Amino acid sequence: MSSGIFFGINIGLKALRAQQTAISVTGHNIANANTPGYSRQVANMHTGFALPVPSNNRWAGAGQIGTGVEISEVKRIRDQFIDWQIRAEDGKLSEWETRHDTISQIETVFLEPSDTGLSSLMGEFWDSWQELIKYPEISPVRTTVKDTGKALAEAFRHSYERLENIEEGLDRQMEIAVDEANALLRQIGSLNEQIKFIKTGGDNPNDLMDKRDLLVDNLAELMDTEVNHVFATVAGKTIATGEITVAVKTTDTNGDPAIVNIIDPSLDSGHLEFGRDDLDVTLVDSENESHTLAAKTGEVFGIQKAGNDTNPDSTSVAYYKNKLDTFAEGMSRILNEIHASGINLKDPPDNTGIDFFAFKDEEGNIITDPDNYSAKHLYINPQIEDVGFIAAGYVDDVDDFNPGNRENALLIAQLRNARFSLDGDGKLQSNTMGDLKFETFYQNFVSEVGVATKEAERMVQNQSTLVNQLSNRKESVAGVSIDEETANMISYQRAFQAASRYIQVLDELAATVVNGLKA
Amino acid sequence: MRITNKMLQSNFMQNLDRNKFYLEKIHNRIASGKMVNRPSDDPVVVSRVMSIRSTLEEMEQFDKNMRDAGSWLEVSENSLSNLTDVLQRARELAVYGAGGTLTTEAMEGLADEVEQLIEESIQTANSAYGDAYIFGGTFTTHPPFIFNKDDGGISVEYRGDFKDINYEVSPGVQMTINASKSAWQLNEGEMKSEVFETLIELEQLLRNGDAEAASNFLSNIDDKIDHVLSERASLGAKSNRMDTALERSLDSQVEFSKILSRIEDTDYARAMIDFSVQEAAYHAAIKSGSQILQPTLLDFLR
Repeated sequence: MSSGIFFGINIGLKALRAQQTAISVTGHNIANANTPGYSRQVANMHTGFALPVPSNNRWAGAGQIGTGVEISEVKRIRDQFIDWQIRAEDGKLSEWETRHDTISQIETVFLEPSDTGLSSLMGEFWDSWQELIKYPEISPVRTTVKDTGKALAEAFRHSYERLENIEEGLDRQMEIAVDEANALLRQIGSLNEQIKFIKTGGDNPNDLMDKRDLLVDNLAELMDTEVNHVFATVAGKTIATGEITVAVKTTDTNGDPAIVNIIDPSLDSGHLEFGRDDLDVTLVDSENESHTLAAKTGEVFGIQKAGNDTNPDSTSVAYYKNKLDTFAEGMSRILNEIHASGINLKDPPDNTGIDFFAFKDEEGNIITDPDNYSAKHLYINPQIEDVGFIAAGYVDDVDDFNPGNRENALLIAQLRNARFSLDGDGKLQSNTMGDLKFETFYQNFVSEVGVATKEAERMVQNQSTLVNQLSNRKESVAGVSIDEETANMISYQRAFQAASRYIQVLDELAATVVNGLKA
Repeated sequence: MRITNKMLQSNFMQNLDRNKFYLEKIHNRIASGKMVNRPSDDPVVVSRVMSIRSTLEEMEQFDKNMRDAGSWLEVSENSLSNLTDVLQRARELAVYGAGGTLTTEAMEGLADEVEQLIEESIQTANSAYGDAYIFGGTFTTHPPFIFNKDDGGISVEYRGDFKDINYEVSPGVQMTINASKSAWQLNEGEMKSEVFETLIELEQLLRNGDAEAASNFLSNIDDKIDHVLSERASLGAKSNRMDTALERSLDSQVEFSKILSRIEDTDYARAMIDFSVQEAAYHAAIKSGSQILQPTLLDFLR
């Protein structure tokens, strides 16, 4: 058999079809140039099956004759290794973004230097005691002491409440993150099924795989995952089914780390539940067994790091709540001790040991257990509302007391520059060799907020530079270049035009034969 | 390496964002006039600023204390100056009385004047600074000296206490500002002032017409005058010490303010230069971005 004219027309036809398919793929690429998660596709062309045709009457020509072009597959271009890298780094990025968000909010609670912050309120409070030294018998001066004390206590409570608000925000954020993760898991599960179905039919579900990869990317921003392909053995051969399993890190009941598949096509999918208890997230697997999620990166981990109460570090809310508590407890205890030993201005004056500060719970009851003293509950002692109860004086024998006595006010005012240190229980104790003053204690933790914020900011910047570089590499492989597509389009167009011309030539050849024979 | 349009765009946006981030930072410095506006701007500087501000604020309080102490001392000094006048006049009267030439009526008259002098010095002894009586120790809310006159004659009772009143004038440094005990020579056991006792004695012996006793009494009055004068000198010394301390404190406040300004305030010249550099970078980025992002191959195909 020789290559007949009609055989040639067939080559032309196949060429037209192939170029047209390639142009369609180009069109699809251009259309999706800005679609998130889309990876460019190429129509892989290969030469048609050549005809060897060994036979007796074989036309003695050169070699085999090709049968034109065929599209073997439409394939997406993507580097799975970069995907894996990006997911790991993206998880760290969103972890640090969350922690940076939180510490920046904490920073606004302790926004120093300022004329209205805790620091200056404390200064005013000590100043009012200095004034009391000078005018212990004058009621308006006593009222100033009471009022600045009140303002200071309120500032403590307010700062603490704002920290609690930040915690509530983290709680809500976790709720949303868990909902989002569950939605992503459901979609990944259903895409798994569709992909398997199409794969079994022998096609490449490129767009569905892009979609699934995007969902896995999004999931990786929430928590660190381990993604594996599912393989099946069919007729002795191992083939990829196109499905994936998604595993996450958990802690089992013994507290040991364990990796659990949350998506496994062979089982029902698991889901996550937010238990609210210290921001713990529970993974309920297909067998309805619960595991504690132990993410190590991602937003979920970031929220836990910033918001939970165990092992707080200087980027977490609890750390600063504890500091405020230490401060409020220490200051009130030390001041009360001196105040209670003084003598007030009542008639007759007494030294019955009235506290200046008091801790009151939400119902307004005085808290007596020192373990429960928290900045959240700091008030001035309600008795102090009668400023005569402010104990400015001190004498050994109450009978020797006169209203101009100011020894105790002097002792309290000197607390401003008194030295303290932290004892084994983390409580402030008077210590003349200590390295802390009330002021420096507060300054220190404002510095800590600053350093932690800066550090978090730096981490976010570094991490986003890294993610950006990786994204560029990913984009470099998988992204759509308009220029490239335009160039491809022109070459496919030219090929299409040439193939059409070729068919026209063959048509003319055929016409020559047919018309020539007629003549 | 393939470069896609999206890469160009996202890199461009990232760089632009970074430019704007720094622009905003510098602009903040210029607009607020402060190098640091939040702890993370520079934690070390912020904690130094806080500590200097607090020191300054505390110094202002101590200045107030020193000024108030100064006023208190001034009131004391005025009172004692009155007292000196009173004692001088009493001495003059004693000299008249000691002459021995006066009639009983005239001696009586001298005694009456001494009595008035006593009443006058009671007012002085009960002088107050603000609402506080300054010569009663910590007994500040009522006049400490009480004048009594009955058939037995004149008596002056002291009902204050003998405690010092201390102001804090700098961290840990206290200054005693009241002078009752020594100025009025209080006798703790009998709750009496030797100054008044001397005047009362003078009044008594003048009323008795005892010229010789009056003459012998002069040295007694001189003692008291000397004593009050030396007390005034010591008050003056305290006052001076306070003035010097206040001046020194004001000087260091100027120094601290300078340091504060140096670390906290924006160096405008530098900030403006930084701003211009950053602005130039920003504009250049926008310009090159606008030229790189727009064209594609399509623009050049016909």
